[in-house]
Amino acid sequence: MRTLRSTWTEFVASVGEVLLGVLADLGGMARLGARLFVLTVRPPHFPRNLLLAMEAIGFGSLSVVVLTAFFAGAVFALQISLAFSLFNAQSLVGASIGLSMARELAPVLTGLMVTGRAGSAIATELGTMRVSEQIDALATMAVEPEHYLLVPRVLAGILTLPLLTLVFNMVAILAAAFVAVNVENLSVAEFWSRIPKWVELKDVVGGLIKSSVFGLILALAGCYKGYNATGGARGVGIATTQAVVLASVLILVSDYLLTTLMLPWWRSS
Amino acid sequence: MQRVVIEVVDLHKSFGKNHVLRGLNLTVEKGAIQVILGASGSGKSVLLKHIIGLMRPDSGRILVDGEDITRMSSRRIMEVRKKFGMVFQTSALFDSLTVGENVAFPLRVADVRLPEEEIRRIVAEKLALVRLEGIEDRMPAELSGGMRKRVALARAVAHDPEIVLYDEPTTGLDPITVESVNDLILETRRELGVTSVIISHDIESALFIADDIAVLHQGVIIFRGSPAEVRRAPHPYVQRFLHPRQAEP
Repeated sequence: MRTLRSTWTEFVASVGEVLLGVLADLGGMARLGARLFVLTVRPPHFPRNLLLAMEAIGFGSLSVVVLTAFFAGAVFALQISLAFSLFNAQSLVGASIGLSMARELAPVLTGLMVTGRAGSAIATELGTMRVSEQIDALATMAVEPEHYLLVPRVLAGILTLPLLTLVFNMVAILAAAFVAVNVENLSVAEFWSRIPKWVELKDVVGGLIKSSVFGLILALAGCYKGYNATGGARGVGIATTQAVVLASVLILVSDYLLTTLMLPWWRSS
Repeated sequence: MQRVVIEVVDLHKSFGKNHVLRGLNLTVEKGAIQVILGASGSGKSVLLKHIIGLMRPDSGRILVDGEDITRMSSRRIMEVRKKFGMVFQTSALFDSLTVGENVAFPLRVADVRLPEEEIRRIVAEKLALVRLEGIEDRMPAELSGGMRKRVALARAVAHDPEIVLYDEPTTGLDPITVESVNDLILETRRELGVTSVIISHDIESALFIADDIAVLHQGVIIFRGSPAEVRRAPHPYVQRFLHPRQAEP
C-alpha cells in the first residue's frame, strides 16, 4: 500500500514537473515572440538574412514536402474511394480530398514535416552558435543577436509555410487524382467536377493562415530552444529534440483551436 | 600616469549560491596590457563579460571612459561596445562565413558603410597583421587552432577598437603558437596603440607580455603589480601560481 502510494505520488510529481516545464516553455516563447515583434519593426533590417532563412526553410524543405504530399494524396484517394464506393458517392471523392487537404492536412502535415527538417536545423544551428560563443561574439560587435539571427528566421517561417502549403495542396490533389483515376477507376470528370463547388477560396485561405501560425510556432520553438541551449554538444542535441517535440505538440493543439475559430467562417455561405 | 579607461568598482556577481565576484576592484590604464591572472573557475571570464556588458552585475559599477555601463540601456551598451574588440577562448569565428567575411563582419555592421573595396583592403591589412595573408576565401573549419585564434584577433581589431579583450588567448595552443600569439598581442598594441585586457592562467605568457598583472582569487583581486613585482610577491597564492607543486615521481 505504502509502495503504491509513493509510486502514485512520484507519478503525480513527474506529471506536474512536465506541465511546469511546458508552461515555462510557453512563457519563454511568448516573451521571446513579443521581443522579436518589437525588433522586427525597429531598424536595422537584415534582408539578406531573411532571404537566406527563407531559402533554408522554404527551398530546403521543398522535396520533403512534395514527397509527403504525393503519398498523403495517394493514400487518401485509396481510402476515400473505398469508403465512398460503399455509399455510391464516388463523385464526392475529389471534393472531400480537396477540402480536407486545404483546411487540415496540407497545413498540418507541412508544419510537422518542416518542423522535423527546418525547425530542428534552426535549433541545432543556434545551439551550436551559442555553445561555441558565436552569439556572444555577435553581441560584442554591437549587433543584437536576437535581431540579426532570430527575427529573420521567424519571419521566414511565417512567410514560407503558406507557400509550401500551397505546393502541398497542389501535389496532393494531383496525386489523389492520379490514384483515383488509374487505380480506383474513377473518371476524370467524376474526380474534378465537384471540387470547384465544394472547395472555396476561403477554405484554402484558412489553411494558409493556419500554416503561417505553424511557421511562427516551429521557427519560434527552434529559436527559443537553440538560443538558450547550454552544455556543449549534448545540450545542443537536447535543445533540438525539445524544439521538435514542442513545436509538433503546439502545432497539433493550435490546429484544433484554429479550426474551432475558423469553422463558423468556413460554414458561412 | 595614463588615463584610466576601465574602472571596476566593488563588483558582485552570484549564480545561485555561487558568489563568483565578491567586491572586485580594478582599473585599466589607456594603452596598457593588463593581464588578469586566475585559476579556472575564479571568475575571470565572468569579469570579462561584465566589462563588455554581456552580463549585468548584482551590484557595483563598471566605468568605461567614465561612463557607467551597468546603468545603461541595452541599446546604449551597444554603442559602448563599438569601442571594444574581443578575442574569445574558442575563437568564436562564424563557421558559416569565410575568413574574409569574418574579418569584414564588424565593418559590415558598422554605422558608417564603407565601400566594398575599402572593406577588402582593411581585411587584407588585418590578415597581414596576424601573418595570414591570402586566406580570405578559406572556411574557419579548414584552419588550425592557432590560425583560428589569429583570425579572431584580426576580426577583433578590424574596426580599430580602442580596447581589445582577450579571453584565454593561449589556452590549448602548443608552445610555439603560444609564442606567436604573445608576439601578436604585443605587435597589435605597438601598431594600433590599443588597450589590452587579457584574462589567463598562463603565468609564463603573463610575465612576458603584461605591463600590469592583477591576480584574481575567490572573487577579488588579491595582488597587483608589474611582472617583476609579481615574481617577488610574497603572497602564498601568487607563489603557488609561479611555482606549481611538482608531481611526485
